[in-house]
Amino acid sequence: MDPLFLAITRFRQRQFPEAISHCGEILRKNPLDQAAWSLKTRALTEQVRVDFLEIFDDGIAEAVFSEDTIATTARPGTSLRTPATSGGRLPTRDGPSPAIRPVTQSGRPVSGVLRPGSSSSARPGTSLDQALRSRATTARPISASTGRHVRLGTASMISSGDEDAAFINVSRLNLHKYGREDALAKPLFEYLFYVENDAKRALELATVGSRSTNVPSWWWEVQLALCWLRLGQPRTAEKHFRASLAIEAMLVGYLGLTKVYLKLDQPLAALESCGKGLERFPNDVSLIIEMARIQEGLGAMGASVKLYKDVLTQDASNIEAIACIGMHHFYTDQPEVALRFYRRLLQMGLYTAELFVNLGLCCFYSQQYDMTLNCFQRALHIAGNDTLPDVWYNLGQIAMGLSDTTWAAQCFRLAISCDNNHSEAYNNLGVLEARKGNHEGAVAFFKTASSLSPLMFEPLYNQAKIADSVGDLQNAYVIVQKALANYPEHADSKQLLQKLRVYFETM
Amino acid sequence: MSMGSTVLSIKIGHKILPGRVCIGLYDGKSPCLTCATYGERVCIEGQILQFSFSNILLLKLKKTHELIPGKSVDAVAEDITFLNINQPITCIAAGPMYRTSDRYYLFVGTQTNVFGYDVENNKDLFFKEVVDGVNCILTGCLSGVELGSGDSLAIAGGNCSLQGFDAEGTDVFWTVTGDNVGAIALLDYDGDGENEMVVGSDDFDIRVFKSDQIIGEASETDTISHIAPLKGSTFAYALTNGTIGVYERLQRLWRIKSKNHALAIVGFDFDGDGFPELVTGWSNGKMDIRNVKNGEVLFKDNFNHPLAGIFTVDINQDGKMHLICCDVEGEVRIYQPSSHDGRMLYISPNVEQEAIRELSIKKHHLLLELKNYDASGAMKSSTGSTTTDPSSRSRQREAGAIPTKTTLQTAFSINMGSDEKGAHIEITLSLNNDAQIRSALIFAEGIFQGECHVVHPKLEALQSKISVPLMPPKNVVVDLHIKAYVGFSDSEHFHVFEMTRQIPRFSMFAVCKDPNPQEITSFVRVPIQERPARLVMWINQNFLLAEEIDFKTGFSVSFISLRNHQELSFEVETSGTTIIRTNDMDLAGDITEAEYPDEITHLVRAVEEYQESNDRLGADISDQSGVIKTLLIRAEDARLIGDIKGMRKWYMQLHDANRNLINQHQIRCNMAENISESIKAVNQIIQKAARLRVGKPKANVITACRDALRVKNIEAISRIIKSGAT
Repeated sequence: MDPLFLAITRFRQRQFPEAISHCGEILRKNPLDQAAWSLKTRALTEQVRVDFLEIFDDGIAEAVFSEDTIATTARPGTSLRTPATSGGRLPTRDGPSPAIRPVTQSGRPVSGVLRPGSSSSARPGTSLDQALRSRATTARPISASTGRHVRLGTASMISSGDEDAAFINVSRLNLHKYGREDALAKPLFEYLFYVENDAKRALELATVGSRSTNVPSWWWEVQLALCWLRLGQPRTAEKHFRASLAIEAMLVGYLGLTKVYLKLDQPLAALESCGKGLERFPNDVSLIIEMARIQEGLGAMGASVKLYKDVLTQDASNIEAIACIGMHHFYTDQPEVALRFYRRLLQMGLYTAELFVNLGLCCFYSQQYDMTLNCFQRALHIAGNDTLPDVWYNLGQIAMGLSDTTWAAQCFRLAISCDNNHSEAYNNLGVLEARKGNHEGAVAFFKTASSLSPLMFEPLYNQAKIADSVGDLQNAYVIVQKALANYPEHADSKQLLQKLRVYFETM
Repeated sequence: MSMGSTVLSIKIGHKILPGRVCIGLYDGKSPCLTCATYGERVCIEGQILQFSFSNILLLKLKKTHELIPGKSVDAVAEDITFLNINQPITCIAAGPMYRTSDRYYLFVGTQTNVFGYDVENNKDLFFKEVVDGVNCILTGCLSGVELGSGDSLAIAGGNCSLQGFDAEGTDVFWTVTGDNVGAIALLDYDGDGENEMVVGSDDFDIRVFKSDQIIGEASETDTISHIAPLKGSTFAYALTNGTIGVYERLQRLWRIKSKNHALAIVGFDFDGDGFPELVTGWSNGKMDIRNVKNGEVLFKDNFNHPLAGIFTVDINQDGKMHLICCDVEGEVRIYQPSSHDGRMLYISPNVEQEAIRELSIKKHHLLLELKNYDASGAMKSSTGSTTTDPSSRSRQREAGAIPTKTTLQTAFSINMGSDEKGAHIEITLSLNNDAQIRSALIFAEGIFQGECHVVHPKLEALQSKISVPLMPPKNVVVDLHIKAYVGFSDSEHFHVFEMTRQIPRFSMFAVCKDPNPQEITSFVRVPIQERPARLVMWINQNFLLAEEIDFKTGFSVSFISLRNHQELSFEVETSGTTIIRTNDMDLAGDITEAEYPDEITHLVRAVEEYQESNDRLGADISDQSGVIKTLLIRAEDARLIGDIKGMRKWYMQLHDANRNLINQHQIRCNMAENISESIKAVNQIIQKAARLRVGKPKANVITACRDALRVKNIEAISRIIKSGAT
């Protein structure tokens, strides 16, 4: 059989290692066989290809040294960086309050799934120290141009063996020669971008490629934009995405623009670009889900859940949508409805510790106590190092619900032993200490908690309350104001503040 | 004190970049002072690098009753918001874009970009790269421009170009001007209810554009820095040499010159009479309000620092406009308009003393004049009795009397120059008898430095004839206002002769005796639908000729430029077709209101090459900065875990990478400069090529060139310049 035909068939069957070895044989006989060369390039790319836009995430460096955002203190509801919980009234917010639904360390409502960006702790204004310290649990890339992409790249090189590692010597490539031949340039570009992770060279090739044809090509424009995005230049990327859309309106153009605007922290512009995409591609799942994520980040839970439901009418087994709707129901006091969504995920074959924890919590709050501990046992069984602290923390919550404070304290201590930055566990431990009457110990826990995540209002309120009870009114007054800055609507904090004010005025 | 001088003062506490200030109603109601401030500067080894980033500061203005009159308050931190621009800001503007909404949008121009931003929603309107750069920007409606979206457009003036963007950033309007645009204003120039655009540029010209056609042009004496619409077709202007003035259409009403220069001008109805007054902010911190009709000062105030911006705004949202001035140190003063109808009650404590001083000066002058009349009266009576008595004659001279029939004559002539002085034209002042010209004062715009020239011969070299060399730099008609002091060497009083003469437009051209027109390869062929006799008349009027050219059916005449010794020739055929041969396209354009392609081909290619390498450098720099960020994070990480050795290693690497980056940046800066210069030259050529045509073909040339530039079709550009757009 013709080895090239065999290689193409293997490639179509997505059996890339075989396809690569067949191509390798052809190239050994005739190193100038362009068909085999380009097929091998494609096969190598397909092995490691990831949806760049989907995993696009700011590194710590980009997040801390951000220069692209225009508004430093944007109006609430118009920015994903300024915390949705601060700055007075929130006109767009229609979800449960942060007293019920917890927020992430960057002050966004916690989401149903963990995705790049959803757990980001660094935002402009936080110091580098803080960003680096809170990185401990999540493995974040250092910057967009290094970090995750480089790791993926090197991993692929090792797996593909010695002979293929030197398949293309990038530094000796004559990009101008290859760039002019479209059939060779496109696979080579993807190889450079996804396998080599050399955005600079890829950009050079794309520039040559896009200029070599007289007819402007949307594909090259998109690739140029991707390169600029990876190089950390969203404004230039925006220009190329727009140019691409002007030539041919493609989905990737709209998605790319959305990502650009998110990087520029202009969520409303991102929503608009999604909306334009939906006019062209009605009911497209990737666009709707992007909108749902943005609405969620803005705190508009009603709109977000509606969009997630739209996703489910198109794609009934979309894990992200199911998980997010489930979580919404859980935090809006409908644990039994949430249970249905999580069970659906279980049926679909998802088998993770997080899911079992959620199932356990839903069972507990919908009074199906028999299932609760079983779920947690299963979760502890399969939890990895990064999920274990949360499993213990949630188990601690169950223990608190059962009024077994000793057990709860043990659980929280275990959570802290797995992750010593677990601020919620510190806070709860503080509450337990306070109940025992150990005020100094409690205050120490609260202080640790609020230094670990400065946007949490609970440890601050708790601390203020203790200060008030021991008569340290001045401190109570100062701290409760900090709590209110994080969550202005918090009724108990307001009450405490009012009480202190009245007291100071009568003095 | 009247309402007119009630001052409310706010201190922002930040420095403001002059001219980069505007007022925006971003939520559609409450005014917000928007100004560019100094951002971070990058210092390297003691020297400040070229790029100083600027930020934009937004200050919510409170209603006036919340402020205390006459007392300065500091702005509250909650009222101030910052916008990061991270590029040097060249200009800002704010304005509504949609008729359906009152909300303002902010437009910011930098050296390479222009972008529109929705402040309220933290959202871009558009972000556009502008290779020509942006010097000034404003928003508004313009007649004859079709908009893709929105109801008004943002007009950006750059290097010789004007661009209009609609609400989505589509450039719906593009045209070229003679030089860098210094100021733009929109006003209803021809009274048709739609706005025309008045543009002042660095070649001292004010041009009026209706759509992309020039419908009016006026020449000034220096770079135009500001233009402000007043009422109807009246507008004010300011020059960088310190002149401000007012035009009614192209008729200048008045102008004054100061040794300071104006940093902001705006029209504001201060006295409540329904007509705006001209408010000017000066570089020495003075602010004055002048009558539009005659420039008389109605009100003035002093700031401690140069003014940064002046605007009018309805601060209380009750329909009454207030005047807001701010200086570069961030002091904002709010003036309430006078509530008295049409009456100014400005009383300053020393106004009476000043009036007395002025009156006593007047009295002194009048007394002097009276004394002169007495003297000449006495002389007349004496001449009546004894006629040719030498003693009485000397007495006459002392009194400054000259023969009654003395007249001052002026003549222009061309002096081909000598070794020490180049070719020039001369104006000769002469008297018809033995009286002498003691000194002469010639006042002319744009010819002399400082506009005025005084000739003051030595006492022993007094003559009845004086020659003054003139070298007009531009081909424009200039009025010479001449004052000559006439008397005798021993006179104490002089007679003053005043007269006005006009220099013809093309005075700097001398007739060439031995024409050789074939040597000039470039030419313009113009079919003229006039009788050749009229053309001869035009030549006679506009050139300085020793003897007038006689009318013949077909003739040719050659001139030589006194400026650069280049030849210019007219060949008039019997059919009326005229060929103008010259190598200077600007000159050809001056005459016609061709073949000049070599230069532009070269330039466009250069721009393209520069841009390509600029892109590559940009990628390099982005890549490098990614590396730098990584290194910094790693170094800090090492510091946090106490790994000092590792930290040292990372910081050393960071240092090298940083130096590398700075070098690359310097290269890129130079390249950007080259690009902008080339683009400016290209725009100038297009503008000159357009001037070779009149009316519709003129606009066509500009649009055709623009399209050709966009698709980088260099051959097409040469063709368009040669034969016009088809």
